[in-house]
Amino acid sequence: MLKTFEYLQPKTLEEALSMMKSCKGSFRLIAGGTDVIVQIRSGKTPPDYLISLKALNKELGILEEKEEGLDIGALVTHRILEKSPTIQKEYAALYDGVSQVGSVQVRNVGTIGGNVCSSLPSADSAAPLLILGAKLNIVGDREESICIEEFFTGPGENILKNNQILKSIFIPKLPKNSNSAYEKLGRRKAMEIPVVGAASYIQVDKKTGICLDARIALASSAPTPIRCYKAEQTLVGQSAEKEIFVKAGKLAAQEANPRTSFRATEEYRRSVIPVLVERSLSRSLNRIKK
Amino acid sequence: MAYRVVGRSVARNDVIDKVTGRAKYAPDVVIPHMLHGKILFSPYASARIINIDTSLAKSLLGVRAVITGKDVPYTYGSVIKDRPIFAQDVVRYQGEPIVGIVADSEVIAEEALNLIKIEYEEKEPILDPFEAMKADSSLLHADLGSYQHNKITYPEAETNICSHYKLRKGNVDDAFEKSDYIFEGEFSSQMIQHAFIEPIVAVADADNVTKRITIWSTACNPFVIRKELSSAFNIPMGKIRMIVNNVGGSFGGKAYSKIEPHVAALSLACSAPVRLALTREEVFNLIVRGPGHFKIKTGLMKDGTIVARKIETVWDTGAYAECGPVIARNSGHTAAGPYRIPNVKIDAYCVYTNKNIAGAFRGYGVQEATWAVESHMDDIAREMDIDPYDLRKKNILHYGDEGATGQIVEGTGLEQCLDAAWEAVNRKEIKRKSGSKLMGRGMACVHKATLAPSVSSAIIKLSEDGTATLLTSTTEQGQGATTVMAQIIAEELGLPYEEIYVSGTDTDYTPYDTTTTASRSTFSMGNAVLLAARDIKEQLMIIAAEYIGVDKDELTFEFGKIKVSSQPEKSYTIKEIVSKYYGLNGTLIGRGLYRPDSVPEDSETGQSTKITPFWMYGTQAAEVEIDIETGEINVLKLVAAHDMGSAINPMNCRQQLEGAALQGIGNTLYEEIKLNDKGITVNPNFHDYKIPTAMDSVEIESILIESQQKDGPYGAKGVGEPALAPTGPAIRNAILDALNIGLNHLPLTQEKILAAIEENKEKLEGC
Amino acid sequence: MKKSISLTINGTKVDAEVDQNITLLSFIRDEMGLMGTKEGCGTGDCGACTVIIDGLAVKSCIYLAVEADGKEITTIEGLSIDGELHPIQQAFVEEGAVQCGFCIPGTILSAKALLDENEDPTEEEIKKGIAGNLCRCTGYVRIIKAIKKSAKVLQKAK
Ligand SMILES: Cc1cc2nc3c(=O)[nH]c(=O)nc-3n(C[C@H](O)[C@H](O)[C@H](O)COP(=O)(O)OP(=O)(O)OC[C@H]3O[C@@H](n4cnc5c(N)ncnc54)[C@H](O)[C@@H]3O)c2cc1C
Ligand code: FES
Ligand code: FES
Repeated sequence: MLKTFEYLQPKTLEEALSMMKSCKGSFRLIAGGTDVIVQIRSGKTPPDYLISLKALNKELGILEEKEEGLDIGALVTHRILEKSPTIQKEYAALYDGVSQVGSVQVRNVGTIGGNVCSSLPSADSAAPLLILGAKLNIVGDREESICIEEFFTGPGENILKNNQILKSIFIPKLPKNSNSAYEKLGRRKAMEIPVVGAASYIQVDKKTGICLDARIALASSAPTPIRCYKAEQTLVGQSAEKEIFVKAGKLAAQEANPRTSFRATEEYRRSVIPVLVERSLSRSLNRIKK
Repeated sequence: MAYRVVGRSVARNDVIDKVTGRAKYAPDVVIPHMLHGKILFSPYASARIINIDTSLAKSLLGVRAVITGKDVPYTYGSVIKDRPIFAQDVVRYQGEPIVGIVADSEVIAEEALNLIKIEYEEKEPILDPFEAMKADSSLLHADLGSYQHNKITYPEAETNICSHYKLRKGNVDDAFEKSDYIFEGEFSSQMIQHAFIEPIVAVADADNVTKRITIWSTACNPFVIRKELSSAFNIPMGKIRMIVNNVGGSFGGKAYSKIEPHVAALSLACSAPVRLALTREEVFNLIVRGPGHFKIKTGLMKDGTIVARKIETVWDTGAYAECGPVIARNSGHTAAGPYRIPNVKIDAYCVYTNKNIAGAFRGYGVQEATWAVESHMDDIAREMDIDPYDLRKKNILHYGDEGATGQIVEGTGLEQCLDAAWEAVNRKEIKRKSGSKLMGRGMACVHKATLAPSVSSAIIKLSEDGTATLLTSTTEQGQGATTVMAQIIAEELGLPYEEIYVSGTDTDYTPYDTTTTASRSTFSMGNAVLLAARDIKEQLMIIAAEYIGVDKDELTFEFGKIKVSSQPEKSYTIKEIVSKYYGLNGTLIGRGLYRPDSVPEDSETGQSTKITPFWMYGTQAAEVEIDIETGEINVLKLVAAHDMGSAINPMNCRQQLEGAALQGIGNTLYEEIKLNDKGITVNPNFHDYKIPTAMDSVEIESILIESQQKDGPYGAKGVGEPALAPTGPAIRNAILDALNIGLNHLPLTQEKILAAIEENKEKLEGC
Repeated sequence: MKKSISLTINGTKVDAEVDQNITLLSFIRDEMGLMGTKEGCGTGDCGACTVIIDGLAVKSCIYLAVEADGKEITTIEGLSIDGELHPIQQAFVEEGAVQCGFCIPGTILSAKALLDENEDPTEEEIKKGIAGNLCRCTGYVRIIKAIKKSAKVLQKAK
């Protein structure tokens, strides 16, 4: 049995927002609960209320392919994303990330919104979303859309205010001759928090093989998931091949700010970042070629 | 001789219940009006308790009892009686029980815990066993010299050394003088956990007036615990009833008392049934496998003959002895390796520190000792430029050789294992390099003794319909013991295997068995069961003679049928005889008691002509692939060849080898309990303490070597523990083969491997 | 405070008043007495508590009982019908996939959820499908074999 709290289940987004406003006492939103329940169980003082988003599937559970890109509701589970042919084909890095979250049972329940809002530096969807240019659609007093780069503020911290809910995530359609990939290094092969995760996106000129655009992001390499802008810049205008990928990897390691924990030391993370970045870029390139 | 049931992979007799979810484990025990216990554990590794204020907790509605060390000022421990049930003024490790609470629900119990105020004086914990061994170290147990202990424990009073085991054979100093080569190595093994999936749970129903105590628990050695409780609470053994059904994995971690003394105290305090269920985190803090340190020195002649070996081991046993002294000693039997070495000197120190309490883990120190000695063997082979296989082959113990403990080797299984494993792993050419990956192969051998002295007893009840029920106290933990026992009875009495029922353990009804540890059950309990079956047979012949009206000498027993020599055309079934004899109802009772031979060791030299009734042997070989850019390692294949005397149930044997292999891979590559500098465990959960998942499983080839143990039931002996030991050094030696780098300190994490690669770039050149 | 929920467990409709702070695992075991669902960790890490909710394998120790309202739940007790083992259970028996058995109900349910959506999984897909079910005894070798075998049996039965 968990420590006492009251469970509230609003039926609409509007009701949820007004509950959050009028709530007397502490509260937490709960989506899949795979983070929230574990935290409550592990003894941290529970909030007075859990406000469940589960009944908001109509508003928060959409997965819709549009002309300009993909709309993913915050409540969409990792498992649904993993099985979506669109994600598998068009947004491969996101597929790589969400298909490696925990295990099937966790992916069946855990949501992408929860993963992003938990805002852990190790979140497996974060680096892919960063390189895919995701925008977060946030509702509160008003509805706003922000770049995911602006969202994370620290380990487990983000810009969301107490009256805001992440409604959906928008990923723009990728241009021609581009692709993405996410490489995750763990200690075991499943049920693993990344020691380092590296996501990449590149666009090449099919004729010349020159890299037209590139984005690189890292997980478990800094207090938040990060973009590696310098590494990206070295790639643009260069011929997309291993040599330059290695160089980009090294730059990415310089941009990273990993820490030592019992899972891995700072030094180890620094030495594998270049390898993972290079491998991720090579995979992106291979995917373009296919 | 061809057997009908023995030697066949019949389905386990517990398997239907286990796939349907009907199998009962201790966590499933529910007693009407059962209350719930909780323990407040120490947050410090070393402290003095100044004051405990339980008044607020006691006054909380729904709280039934609150007890501290003052209420139960008893100590327990069957190896060394050094452990209070609840702390008495001193806290010696993080996780030490301080206060016990009984309440109507777990939530109330937990609320009550938060109302307890304890004033501690925190002290600097002793975390380094080498510091603890120093003469000027402060003492964890100032009274060590006056503690009761068993005969194979050698405490050094006024120190932190709770046992110093010695083995002396020949003269190592002289032999080193004469050696052509001398090699030395230092190795270590890390703190790990058993990680059985069923947590530790016990339910006690005790009465404070009669002092009758019944306990359902996840314990593996109910009789050991009964004795500990009897001694701690000063209650006669007969009043204590231990009931154990299925155990959800133990690997030694549930062997000795865990929370049984606490739940008994809680139940006695309120004369009501109490359930105490530990969380996974509490389990991690309660029992671990402790770290080990090994220094080995070996002398060899030019031709590769080993002439001397000296070993010093330090076992960090944590705050209380548990079975640490047994681990130090038993690993000593193995530590010199399964080799013919005329001069051996071993000193094993079991040392108290302010760490988690170390218990047995699948082999009582044999895994760790094997890690050290078998890694050392490959280092020697590399230095001397001998093939590691040849070095082993040359020195391996053969039939008739004298081992380090002074016992003469009886079987030939070891050499067969060595050859079979090495052949299997070398069947295909190895590709030594592919992209950023380097491949290599390695091997390691193991020999292990079992427990001695020990006793097993069994009762078979043969019902009038000819079906049999075995009463045995061997606990079923997944190893398949109940299946093997049923097979033995079915074979001996010629009854259908499906019609043999095997009881769970209930110390009120099932007869004595020393322990379910040390891979002893198939051999010891198997022999007891065989004797009980023969006792039944003997009685059957007597009543059959009476029923048929012939002389007993005229009767023969052939697989379930009784035949009369003068009437060759006729035979009588067991059912016929028993039902005729008893009429409508009745039971024949067969008894078996088995006490294998053994000779106690000399306390100064460890020598004995029979330290163990049998030795177990095995060899494993691994093929690995290392990514030299990340340090990631993949075990591509693992071959496990083990000598089990004879395989009463080949499938069960293979299950043991396969399960142990993956456990060994986890133990070797990533498992580690980490403590911070205050002695606090930082990863006490399955999220941060990694054990292999199905994605980490590897191809395992198991090879069963059957050397026929002469006094084993149908030639069988044990296999469970030694199956784990060679995996680690086989992997390590495969890494050595691939990278030319020897890693001596477990675990071999990808991080450690990468660091070693970066440090030894030049060594990789030739790879 | 209690909340009323109504759900289906192993085909039987159940109406219950549950505490808001209990997990589905604790509801299944303590209130429904279905002890085949096991608790190994309580933190979502071992999979011993796996049940199937509306066709999906879920770890019931990190799932609130109140959220099971309106759902259809299968526990291990719901697999064998009329005294017959389910083909997955049968394959576990035949292939020797079981040792201590504590992880087995959860693993069988993960296998069932997997085979329900993918009738002919590859070895890799099987491993991935049960990666959330830790087993310390078997090394998974025979569990994987058993799932392969039962996939064949189930396909044939179609
Ligand atoms: C065994 C196990 C393994 C795991 N392995 C991984 C892994 O490999 N990789 C990984 O990245 N994660 C892993 N996780 C973490 C977790 O499963 C994911 O982060 C998951 O995506 C969280 O989603 P949820 O819906 O369960 O979140 P919840 O637990 O419901 O919520 C998480 C947080 O987000 C907030 N929140 C949720 N939805 C919203 C919203 N729409 N708007 C605003 N705030 C919101 C909640 O208030 C809470 O603070 C694992 C967890 C477990 C238990
Ligand atoms: S008990 Fe639910 S995952 Fe372990
Ligand atoms: S059979 Fe014991 S944990 Fe899987």
